[in-house]
Amino acid sequence: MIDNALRYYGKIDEGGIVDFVDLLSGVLYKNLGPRKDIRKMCSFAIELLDNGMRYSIDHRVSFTWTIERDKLTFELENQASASDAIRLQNHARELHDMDDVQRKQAFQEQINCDQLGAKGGAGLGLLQILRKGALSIDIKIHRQPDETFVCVSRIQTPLQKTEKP
Amino acid sequence: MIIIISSPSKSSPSIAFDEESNTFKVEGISTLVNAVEFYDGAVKWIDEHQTSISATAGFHFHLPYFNSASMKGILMLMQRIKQGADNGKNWSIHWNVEDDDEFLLDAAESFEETLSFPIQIIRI
Repeated sequence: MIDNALRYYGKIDEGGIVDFVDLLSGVLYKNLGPRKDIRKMCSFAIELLDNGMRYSIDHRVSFTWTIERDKLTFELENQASASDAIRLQNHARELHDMDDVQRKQAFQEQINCDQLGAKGGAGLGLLQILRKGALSIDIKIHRQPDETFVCVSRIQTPLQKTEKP
Repeated sequence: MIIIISSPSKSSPSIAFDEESNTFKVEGISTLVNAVEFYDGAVKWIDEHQTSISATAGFHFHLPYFNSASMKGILMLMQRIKQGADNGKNWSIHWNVEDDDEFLLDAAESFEETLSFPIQIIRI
């Protein structure tokens, strides 16, 4: 049974991400009560929306969150160039194949790397999501007739209670 | 006198130096696309004013939310603070955490580990 859900479709920018986080943190607090990991969950949404903002061809995204039983799911859909879509999917696969030690090492390498990606990102976002406890990141890409791709990024994170002392 | 190095916006923190209390403060949400460029402005300010910043200045960070691009920029700023300390200043980094929040505590741990420099957690 779905306990809480919201879907947005439209333009996204830096300020829009802040609006989302305000709304999401309020909803999480209301639905889950006070706990120490609400910002962490919101940070997953920030990274996903940040990716959408950087790589969406038309600056539009479809963003959904769902709270269902013991899981919070975020799903982002955006149109992207072929190279960005394929790179995103390959990056997610690489991160999934890493163990915790490799992810920690990758984090140190990426945060200390002077080179940024072509669109300003350094590949840290997805890595941080997995390092900080997301169950999974699933990236699906679909080729469109105009040779662009639709990217669907799905993140699930557990909601086990960590009550405040 | 409080010197405003960068005024806040919806998606960027304020950066200011309070000459009286001898504190450098970074406060606010940081969801910037060009975060490295933004924090580089603060690094340059420190470069230009390092002789006038007291040897015992405290650098305070209160960032409720930030993206990973900002994390890179914040680290760059902290590396400049560490460089000052390595060159004889008694500069310190203070990281504000509300309600033992996991996201902020994890970030402080990551920064400390990457910098090899102590970060004082201020619980607010």
